[in-house]
Amino acid sequence: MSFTPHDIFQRSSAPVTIDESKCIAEKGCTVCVDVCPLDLLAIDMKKGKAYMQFDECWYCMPCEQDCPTGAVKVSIPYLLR
Amino acid sequence: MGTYENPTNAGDGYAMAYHAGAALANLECFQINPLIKDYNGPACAYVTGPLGGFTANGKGERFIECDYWSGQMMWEFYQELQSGNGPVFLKLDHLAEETIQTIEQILHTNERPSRGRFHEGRGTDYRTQMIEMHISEIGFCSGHSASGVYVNARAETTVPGLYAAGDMAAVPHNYMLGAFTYGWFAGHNAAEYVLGRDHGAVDEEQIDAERARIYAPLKRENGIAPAQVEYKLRRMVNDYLQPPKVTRKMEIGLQRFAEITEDIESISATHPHELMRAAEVRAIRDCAEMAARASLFRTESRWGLYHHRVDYPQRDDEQWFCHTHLRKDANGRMTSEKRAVEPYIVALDENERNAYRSLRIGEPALDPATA
Repeated sequence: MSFTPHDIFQRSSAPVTIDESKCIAEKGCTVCVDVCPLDLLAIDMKKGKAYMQFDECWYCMPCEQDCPTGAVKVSIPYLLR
Repeated sequence: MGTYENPTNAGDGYAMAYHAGAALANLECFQINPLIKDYNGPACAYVTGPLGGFTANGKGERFIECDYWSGQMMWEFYQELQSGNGPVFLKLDHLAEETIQTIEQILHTNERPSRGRFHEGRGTDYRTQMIEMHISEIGFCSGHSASGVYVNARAETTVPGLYAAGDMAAVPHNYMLGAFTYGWFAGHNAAEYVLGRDHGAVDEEQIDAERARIYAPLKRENGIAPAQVEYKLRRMVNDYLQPPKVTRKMEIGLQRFAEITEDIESISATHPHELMRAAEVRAIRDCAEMAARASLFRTESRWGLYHHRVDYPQRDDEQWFCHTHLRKDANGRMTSEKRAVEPYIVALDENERNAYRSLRIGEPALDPATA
């Protein structure tokens, strides 16, 4: 029997969170995705809501600042608190 | 160890210019910044300076004449950090309430707007506490001083038809205004250069090879994650290149960077985002090698902490009052050479020549009347 390589993931909490009741991505809004300099946010096409897909955040906050409905929050994560 | 620059700043500009054959100037003059401890933003003591804030040691005392960033300032910062007077702090707690509010308004809305949120989480308040500082990992200094891709007054690099502007170009203290100005020079002169020229022939083979190279990580299964290669590489950079610089350590660093060249060929990407990160690792690795080789070439110490070589601790103006240019030679090897400093346009006063090296606050002279 051969050994099969497999990926393993470390658990972490997304520092950028979305209030889905306010997010209007289903209407075609992509502001937070567009302003992220690190390409970390995405739209969940099934839900029609924004979410943080990758955690390489440097907490610069345009996603929160520019969201037209106040649906984005940037938190300082546990490791930096 | 914190990072000061935006993490997307992977050194792609330096790497592209290097591979195109352009010379890069004075890369051994690193940049190391004072950061807020555990936070990826600068404390910006120099911003608070005009309002009465300053960099203080553990006793709350001022120890440097000028808080503005320089290699010599970082040298004094580093000495204090390592000493019994350490660590180093931003001190504002002696200021009036309205002054502190003004400082908060500036610092919490500009350079790193999440800073206020960080302080809130730590329970640190400028009114009652000093803010602990630390130093960043190393980076290329570039537009923050005078290193990076060599350009002349027309923004021309040493490769005909190749222009550079912005933070990767060696334009002293250019920052954003310099980037805009030099962007204009570069665009204007490049347009002039191509005027009347025909397009070069398209080499399909070259394009195919480049496409294969870029997309390779998407085709590999069970490869290394780009984030892991980047993490390891940056750890090696900080373990072996962080000043005070030691020759043997930098040589070990070069060995490890060579091994990482091989690792890069085993990276796999599962997503376009990871593919981008894989491409960035290559640029970071090239910059690491350039940083080590440029540092080994200059066998003296200069610019305070930025190029302090423990085994060549003295400044040697006779041999090294010069620029250095690093480039890829005809055999594809990384090579360095000296370049003379052009005559100053504005003459320096004799007493200004040593100002840079006199940043430590001296012991107060004894009053002869009471001594």
